[in-house]
Order: sequence, then structure tokens, then C-alpha cells
Amino acid sequence: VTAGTARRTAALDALGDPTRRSVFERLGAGPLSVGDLARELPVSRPAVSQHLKVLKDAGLVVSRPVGTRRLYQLDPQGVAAVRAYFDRFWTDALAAFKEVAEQTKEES
Amino acid sequence: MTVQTDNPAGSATSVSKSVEVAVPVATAYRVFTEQTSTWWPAEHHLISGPGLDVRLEPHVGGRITDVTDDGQECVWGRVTAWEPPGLFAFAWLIGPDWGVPHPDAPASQVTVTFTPLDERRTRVDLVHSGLDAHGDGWEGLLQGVGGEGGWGRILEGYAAAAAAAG
Repeated sequence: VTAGTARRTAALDALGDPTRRSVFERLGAGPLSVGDLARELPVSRPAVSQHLKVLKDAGLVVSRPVGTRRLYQLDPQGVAAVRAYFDRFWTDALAAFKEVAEQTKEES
Repeated sequence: MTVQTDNPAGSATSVSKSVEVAVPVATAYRVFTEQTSTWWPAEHHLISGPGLDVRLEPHVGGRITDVTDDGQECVWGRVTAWEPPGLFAFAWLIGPDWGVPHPDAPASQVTVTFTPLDERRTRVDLVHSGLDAHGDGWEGLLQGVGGEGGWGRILEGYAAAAAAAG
């Protein structure tokens, strides 16, 4: 098992949890602190911290200090961020495709 | 939800999506490949100008190009499978900045299959794989699309249009 494979497996496991997926998706919109995330999600601050640790260990999330706070964001070097991006892109594109296709006259 | 994600966790380097459309398979294929500019998210063209259109050369090796009436052209894809009405695939050359791709840019792969459910309904399955080809430099993009004018806004617009359409 290569390091890359192990990391991918860790990323999949990390995103298998619905709460962690919620944390990950919110970070897709920009950096947030533990407090920000705890306010937006029905989980405690310690639970948010634990979820962030799993996401960091999986290589999906990085953190940096900003003043007295620590902000978490998707790993800009990580393919997970690319994937999250295209996930949103194709959701939108296919929804629009469906709309247009269904307004199109059928081929005779 | 209209667009289904087959496996939310999925592969770490690919995205899979499915959508069911209430048109025959030939129509679905034609709208996807020949009328791309009618549904492609407007914020994600590579160039801008009058009469912006997406031109596709319908054969393996054919180029997928953004073109405008004032003569701009930008190649952003290359057809790798052309088997109407069931299969369409292309190499995706666009980088993280949605800038004009370098000819040797690393590519990911988009594979689209069209399966007739009956004479009037088609399932479209899309897999965008090899996303690790676009590994670096996504920070600015993610922050851009996450902001006020980004994806949230686009999805809200779609949701409003869909709701209005009933």
C-alpha cells in the first residue's frame, strides 16, 4: 500500500461521516473557525474539533492562525478540494442541462 | 434533488453524477453535445464576447472550442469517444483558474453515458475522473467560487428557476 493510497483511503473514511461531510462542505465556501462551524452545525465545539482533526489527518483540511483565532480551510494543494469543486460544478451543469433538454423538441 | 451523486464519498480523484431527463436518448445526446452553450454555466466559459458558442467536432480527436462572433477561439477539450446516442467522452484541459489552457496542460477525463429508460426518458451518467491532473493552485478558485458571486449564487438562481418552472 503506497502512501498515496493510504491517504486516499483515509480521505474516503473521513468523508463517510455525515457530520464531517457537512464540515468539509462548509469549508468549501471559505475558511472558518471552530466557533463558526459549531454555530452552523448541531454539534458541540469539542465535537467540531475532533471532526477537524480527522479531516486534517486525512489531508483534506489545513489550519492557520489568524490573530487570536485559528482558521480551518480545505487543503489548497489537495485533490479533495478539486473534487469538491467539480462536484458542485457538475451538479449545477447537469441541472441546467436537464432543464434545456426537456424544453427541446423531440427528434422526429 | 434533481442531480444525484452516485456515491457521496466516491473516489478521491473522480466525481460521479446522474440525472434523469424526460426526453428520448437521441435528444439527450444532441442537447449535451451540440447545444452545449445553451446549458453550460455562463460563468464558466473561457472567453467572453458576442455570440459566444461552444463548437464541437463530432469525432474522436475532435476539438471542443469556445468561439465568438468577433473571431476569438479557445480549445478546452478533445473528444475521446463519439458513439451516439450512448457514449460521449472528452479530455478536459481547463486549469484551476479557468484560464486559456496550455496545449500540453494535464487533462482529466469526462465520460458521459446515455441510457434509455423508455422511449421518452433517458438517464445520463457523468464521471469526471483523473482530477489529480489539476492538483495545484486551487486556493484562489475555491475562495472565489465560495464568495458572494460564486456557486451559492448560481445554485440559488437555479433553484429559483426550477421552482418557478414547477
